[in-house]
Amino acid sequence: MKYLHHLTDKIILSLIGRSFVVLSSIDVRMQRELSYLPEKFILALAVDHHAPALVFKKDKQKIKYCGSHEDLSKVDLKIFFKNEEFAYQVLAAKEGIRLAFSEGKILLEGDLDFAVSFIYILEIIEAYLMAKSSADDSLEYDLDKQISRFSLFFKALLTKKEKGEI
Amino acid sequence: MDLPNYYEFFNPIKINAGENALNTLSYELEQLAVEKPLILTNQMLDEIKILDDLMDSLAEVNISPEQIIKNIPNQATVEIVKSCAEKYKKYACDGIIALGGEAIIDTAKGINLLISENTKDLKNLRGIDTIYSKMEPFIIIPTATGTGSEAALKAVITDDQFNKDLEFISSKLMPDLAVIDPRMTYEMPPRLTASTGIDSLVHAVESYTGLQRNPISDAYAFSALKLIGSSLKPLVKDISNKYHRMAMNNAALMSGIAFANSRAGIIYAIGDACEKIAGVSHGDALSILLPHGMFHNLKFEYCRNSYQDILLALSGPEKYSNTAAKDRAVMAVAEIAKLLNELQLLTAIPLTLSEIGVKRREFPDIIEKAMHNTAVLASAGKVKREDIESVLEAAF
Repeated sequence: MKYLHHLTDKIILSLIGRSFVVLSSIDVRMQRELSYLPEKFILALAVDHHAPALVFKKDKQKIKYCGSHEDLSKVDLKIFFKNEEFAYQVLAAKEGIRLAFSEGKILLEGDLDFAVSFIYILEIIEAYLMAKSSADDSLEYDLDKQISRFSLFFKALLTKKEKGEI
Repeated sequence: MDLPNYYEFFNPIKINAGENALNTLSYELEQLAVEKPLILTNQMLDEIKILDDLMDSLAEVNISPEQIIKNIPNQATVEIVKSCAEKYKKYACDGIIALGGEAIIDTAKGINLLISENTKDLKNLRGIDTIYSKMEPFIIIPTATGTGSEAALKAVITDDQFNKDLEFISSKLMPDLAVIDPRMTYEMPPRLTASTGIDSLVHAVESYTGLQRNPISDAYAFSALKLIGSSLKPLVKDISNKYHRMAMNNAALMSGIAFANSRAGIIYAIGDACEKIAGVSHGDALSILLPHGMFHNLKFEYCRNSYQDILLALSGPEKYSNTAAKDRAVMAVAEIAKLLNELQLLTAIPLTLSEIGVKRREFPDIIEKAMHNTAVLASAGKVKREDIESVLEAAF
């Protein structure tokens, strides 16, 4: 079961990363949150403190997906879960990310206000990716979607990660 | 109450509270193996002889003048933290005593961070649970009760160079000991007593309705609310009353512990944003926003349930039983509004945001700031920008 959750975390994280890139140029709510972050801001998301993190970079109001990295010395904000099982609960939409944050299951290195922005962004991505019933139950987010789930999956699969160092 | 699926609660602080509590300090320093503490305070506390009370209680400890820093400003900054940390090292100190309010306490926390983590740059430690080292022995003697800083796991230190507040959240920021001695707060005038009392009230109310409320934080918040209900107004009327002063000191501490463990909510988030954007007093903003934020929360069932308990704690069993169950939540908000009006008559505390200088044109910035405060994530419902705007309009 643990291995299955680990695999789920990896797949969903990868999907979240690519969806972030797609939605950053489509969804106006996400663009508003992005505008709160400084230019060239580098974000990282990991399932636990010691795991490699997915890295994203804001560049000209758009998001570049830099893939998974272990060296996070240049990262401005790192968000990670207290343990992998907590990550699974959130990534599999069994628990809202906002509640998980309030419960102390999510930790971060960096500025708190930027972290809140990132949490709103993750909420929006999850609301797009999850089936409506899951999103309604765990995210309580009645989102007016600006792209269908199928189109988002398709575009996300075609999204390439940036090459080279972050 | 609804039991949360998961919660964390942490409070390792030893609390010595009551008359002459300060006299235990020498013993406690010995227990903590501290021989050379660095003492932080400000000029005002020196002038009104509060520092003398502390030094009297430390008569058995050999304290040299260079171990006392009397010029801590009203805002904790990176520069002052660095210069104090250098003194800590230079004079080979082995513990920290913070005598004062929030700025002095946050400065002390910053020094402890720099020394314990052996780093030169505080910026690298901002975030949640970023501290892994063993901390230096740390004692807090609060002189302005209400903020609950003595129990807070948070510190805010301003980086003037980048015009940015660095925020640190970690259980390691909590002190080893908090000494609550009524002598330290006797000098607070009625207006400040009212304002800090309301600060404690906001902490207790928000921790009772936040997403991370739990049975233990509820116990602290409920006890704090009972003390506030019975002692805040009498104390404002008679500021030298020892019993009520001590009751409010305890209320501040307990609501601070509850607040630290259950996170804040929409009222705190907007109050904090008003302070940062409009430059108004944090306490004033919170007291104005309290009834409006509570009114906003009435639409959530679990807040309505919590507010029933708040009515019981604040106004007593008679009022509670004489109010129909369906009306108790609204009555709790009405009772708080009544208390604020009474305090306004006694001390002229402000009741609207326009009174304290918040401008309507500042609303967009206040809303953005409040939306990006972590407190808003722990608030009931999914707070939206329009929710914050409606609270601001109501309080304006």
